[in-house]
Amino acid sequence: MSGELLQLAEWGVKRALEMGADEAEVFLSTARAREVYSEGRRLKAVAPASRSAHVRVAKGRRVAHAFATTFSREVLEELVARAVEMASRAEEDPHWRGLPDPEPPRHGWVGYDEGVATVEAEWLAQLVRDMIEEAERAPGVRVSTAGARAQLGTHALASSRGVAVEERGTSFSAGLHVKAGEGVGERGVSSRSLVRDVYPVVEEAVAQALDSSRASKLGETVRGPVLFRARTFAQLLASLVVPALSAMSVLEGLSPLAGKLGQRVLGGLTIVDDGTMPGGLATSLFDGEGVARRRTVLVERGVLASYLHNTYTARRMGVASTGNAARGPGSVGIGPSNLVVAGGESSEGDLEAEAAVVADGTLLSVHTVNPVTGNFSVVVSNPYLVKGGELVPVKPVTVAGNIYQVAELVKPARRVRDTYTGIYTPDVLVGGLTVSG
Amino acid sequence: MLEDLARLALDEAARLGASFAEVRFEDSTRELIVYVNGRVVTLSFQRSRGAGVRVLYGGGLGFASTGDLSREGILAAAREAVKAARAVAPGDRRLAPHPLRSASFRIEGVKLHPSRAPLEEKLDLVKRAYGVAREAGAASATARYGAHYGTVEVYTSEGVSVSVERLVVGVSAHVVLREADRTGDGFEVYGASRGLEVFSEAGAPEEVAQRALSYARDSLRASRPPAGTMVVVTRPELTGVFAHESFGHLTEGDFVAAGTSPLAGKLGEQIASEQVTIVDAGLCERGGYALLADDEGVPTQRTVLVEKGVLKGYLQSRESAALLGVEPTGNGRAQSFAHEVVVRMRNTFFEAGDWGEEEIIEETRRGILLDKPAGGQVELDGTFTFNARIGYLIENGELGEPVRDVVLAGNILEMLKHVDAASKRVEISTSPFGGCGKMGQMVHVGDGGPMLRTVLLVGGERG
Repeated sequence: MSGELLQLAEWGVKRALEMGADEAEVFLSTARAREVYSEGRRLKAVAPASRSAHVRVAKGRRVAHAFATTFSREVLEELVARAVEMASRAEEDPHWRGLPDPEPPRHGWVGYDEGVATVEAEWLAQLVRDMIEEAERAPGVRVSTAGARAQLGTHALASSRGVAVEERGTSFSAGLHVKAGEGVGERGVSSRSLVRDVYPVVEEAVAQALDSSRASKLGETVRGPVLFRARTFAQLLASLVVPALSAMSVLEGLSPLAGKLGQRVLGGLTIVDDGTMPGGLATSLFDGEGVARRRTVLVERGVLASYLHNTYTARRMGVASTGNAARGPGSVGIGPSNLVVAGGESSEGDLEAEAAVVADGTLLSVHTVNPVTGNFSVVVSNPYLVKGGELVPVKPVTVAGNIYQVAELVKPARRVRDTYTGIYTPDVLVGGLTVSG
Repeated sequence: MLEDLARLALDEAARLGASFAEVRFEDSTRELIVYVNGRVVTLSFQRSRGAGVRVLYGGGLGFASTGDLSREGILAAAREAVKAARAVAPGDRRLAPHPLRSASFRIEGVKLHPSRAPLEEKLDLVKRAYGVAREAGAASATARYGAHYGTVEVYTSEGVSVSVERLVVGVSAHVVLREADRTGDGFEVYGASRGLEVFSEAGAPEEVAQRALSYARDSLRASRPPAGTMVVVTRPELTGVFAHESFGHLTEGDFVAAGTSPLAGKLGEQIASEQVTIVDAGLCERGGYALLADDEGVPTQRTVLVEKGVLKGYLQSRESAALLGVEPTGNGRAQSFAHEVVVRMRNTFFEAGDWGEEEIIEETRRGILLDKPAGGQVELDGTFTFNARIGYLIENGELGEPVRDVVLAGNILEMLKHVDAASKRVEISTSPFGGCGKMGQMVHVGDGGPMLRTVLLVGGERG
């Protein structure tokens, strides 16, 4: 569909201007996935294909969005008409300073893999069967679900300011959830290209389930340092800190980091948003409104250096966009690209020795943490109690605290790991938390 | 016209050797207005149109979807679905018989359908909610209006032809208060499967904002709760999330058929105290989301999951029902045409008990009353978690200081045995803003129940 998509988007922009819009932007995307997953051992194959059309128009300082899951000319015409009509009846936004201007990309890495784009369901089915067989070789282990997914996405963006970009990208993921008695283990891997060797994933999931099957109750409340494995720390970061770094949250009075640029807020952590990182799960040439992806230091040795911006928040706060516009159905919001937490001085083993509890597996209910205050109270699925230098598996525990209150007690390990979520972080020790179970 | 397109896809699937085929069309609209601190930040209209095709080939199950409703688009989806099914054949997949042939389900009694209401009226709803928060000196306030409505049509090679209406509207308010260096926030939402006429009386946007404000005031002076296992009293909205997370998910027939639910094989067993009756229904006169028929076109039943503590039933789609040799219960649901049907809840709630709400508090020596859910989750080992935004300590039968932001956890096979009181009054709620997530799919649900007393692990900060 190369070229055609962009032409259609440009046609939509033209129509919007003809209908009376002062500015218009049309974003069209297509996604096609092939996925095989199991319910227990039974396989199911799905091949969802979807399209979306996003229209943003402005009349003076009145802005409206329209969105649809199909984009023939007929539908696009209706959508553009609807958006123009809504904009003419919307309220003025005194802060609106127009759509982004065009700019060239800042890097050349395109996350497209022909293998992922063309892989057949049979290949995925065999991979899933292999994972199931390998996992169930371990005595007492049963697979709850295993799956593999290959996705291809393309999008085009055109605007009345002359933005005209077209991109494509692929992603692949595979993973499994296993049970051993009452114990559970879960692991997955994601990449922009095909992953053939999924055995490490299987081994880790199985080992975790076996550990969890011999876990006993913690039976007490412990106050002290918790070592978050890279995966669980990434979850906490994504739900608790990333929303607070969004300039939109800052402007709307929802961020505890508002007014704190230049201040030490996160202990000794360094966090960088890098949309240009080769191989990154979230690397792309442009963000959701056609602004070039770039590398932005958000927090440097604990000191808040920048928020995440789209063009609207950047102009409102008098800075340049950080290329973090995220297109949702019906709005242009803000989202991170690849987030990289810098490694520290300690080895993972050193930090284990310092910890009271290790938070492994996943954080349950992590989406319920409160980014407005920094309070969190979550459940760790596969925790370990550190006892005489040994890691002793325990049943799920609650971990609670306030990230900004314990910020000075945060210590990252040396090795930065891929958590397969677009977040690259080491294991991180966080002191002063309350653990109960 | 849709019927003709469906016929085309069904014939193509049959020609390619499929033993069963189904086409599900969706044409729905989602409206959203987000009003933050006196400014419209989102004014959006979303149209979702497309088709999903499900086929059986040699016992293999395949699904494909398309947003292209041309002849070529639907034929390509049918071919892709057969190709997918062949990739996992041979298998033992079947579908339980469909109870209907032809039917049309409409939501009755809607006075002002969102598709007919002018934009000004919707903007007025969020402004009225915002006005209350502004008057009270909120540091930040967000008001939202949302609606989701449309039609799902299902056609199968067995000759089934069912059309089902969808409708839910809602208003929410989030209020942040700041005093010195303290921050408190409160959230409230009101939703129903009706027209905009519901936004009056208790559903008026001013009332919604007032309740959010009241929670924010309590939150401002709240401390973090104690940690450890303790007596917990849940208000109806939180009871609903408890029903949904602690229990509902593990009665979903796909987990039962795969043998991964800890409730598999326990039908007829006493798994909870006698105070516990849990129901999942497509429609409930006390409120919630109206799902008259599911995304397989199967009419929804009132499914009793637990009756006086005894496990009575599971939730089924046509796929899971076939694996377990039972009838579908109308729980086969999909987020959109681009998603395959999986077993999902509808309105899940604890039934009423015989206690007065005040009586439950008065007869609690030491515990914690919790309210305002922020979501939850369950693991296949039966560990469930859900979160409360606000609560109050109970000391000697009286409500004490407020506490906030706390996770609650337990294990399904242990915790339901501790439920020892349920109030007479039951509330069931829903919303167009969120819902329940499973396997990457979000669907609208309702949940609720009475005020309930039990014992749970509380993830606080004080030892």
